[in-house]
Amino acid sequence: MRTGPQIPAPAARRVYVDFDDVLSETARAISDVVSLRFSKRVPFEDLRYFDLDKSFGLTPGQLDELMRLLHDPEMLLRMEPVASAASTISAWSSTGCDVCVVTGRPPATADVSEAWLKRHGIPFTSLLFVDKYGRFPAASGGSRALGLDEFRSERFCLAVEDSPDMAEFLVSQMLVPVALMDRPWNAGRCLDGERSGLVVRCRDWDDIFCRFPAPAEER
Amino acid sequence: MSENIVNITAESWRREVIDSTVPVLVDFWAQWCGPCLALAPVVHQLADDLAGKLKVAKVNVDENQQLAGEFGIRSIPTLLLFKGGVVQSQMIGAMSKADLRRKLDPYL
Repeated sequence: MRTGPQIPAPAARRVYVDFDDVLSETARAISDVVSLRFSKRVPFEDLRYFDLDKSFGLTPGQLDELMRLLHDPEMLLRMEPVASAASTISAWSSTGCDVCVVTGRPPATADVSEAWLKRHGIPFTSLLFVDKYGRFPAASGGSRALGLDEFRSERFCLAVEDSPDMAEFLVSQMLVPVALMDRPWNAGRCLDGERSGLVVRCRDWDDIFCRFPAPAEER
Repeated sequence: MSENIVNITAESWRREVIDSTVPVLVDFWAQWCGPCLALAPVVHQLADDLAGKLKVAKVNVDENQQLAGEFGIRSIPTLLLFKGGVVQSQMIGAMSKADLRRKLDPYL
């Protein structure tokens, strides 16, 4: 599923930006919810797994409940933005970059996700829902997320991600350079792309901007 | 390195892993990988603790790129547990000794 104005832009200046924990401080919000609802306190620095059930030690039932709570529109709207995300992306946009926000959220969150981006002044050309982690049933009716096989043909000159698995996919299957934002859940492993320079670890958005002041495809 | 750990190459792979009579934990690693070095003491301790019940083997992915490619190793450390020559479990990333032991126990 794709929302936002459908303006085709040259792939040479098209940037992929993940949503949760790249634009919004999702894990910190989740940590608060888990603490309140399930009385499990896990400091942000100890969230060593991308999978929430593993990081927080949740049962399948608790995970389902957490997902319901997290996808509540008010909850999604309340999430804080990641520092310097808006200013970096605005700077990229002003130089002609086409910013495509690519999220693994359910497509049903499209309206609230767009509202959040607008509320926090994050310019974007399109918002793409991709079933990055095989979470959505194939035939769920209505609007649906793109499967990874369909997504593979998209072209980007740079991707900003926090998921090590998605970073691997982008590098190995799509040959897209990745700025991997440092997060506790990606600190425990080294990606093959780090050696080839296709994956660059970045502390934060300021670091990303220093390394990629004007993303563009190499010709 | 623990004396209970063997370094594996493509030449010794069949003998040490496929034909092993005990389960084999294979640690794919590299010298430049910080998390691999952090995991090493955990793997070494388990090799000593489980000597006789589990064989622990290490594959340097830089020196054995064909082996790493064969098993689709794209991030390290990756641990593969073999039993009867077949992969039973895959674990990616650094982890505590307790976590690793919990994942291995069902196969021992």
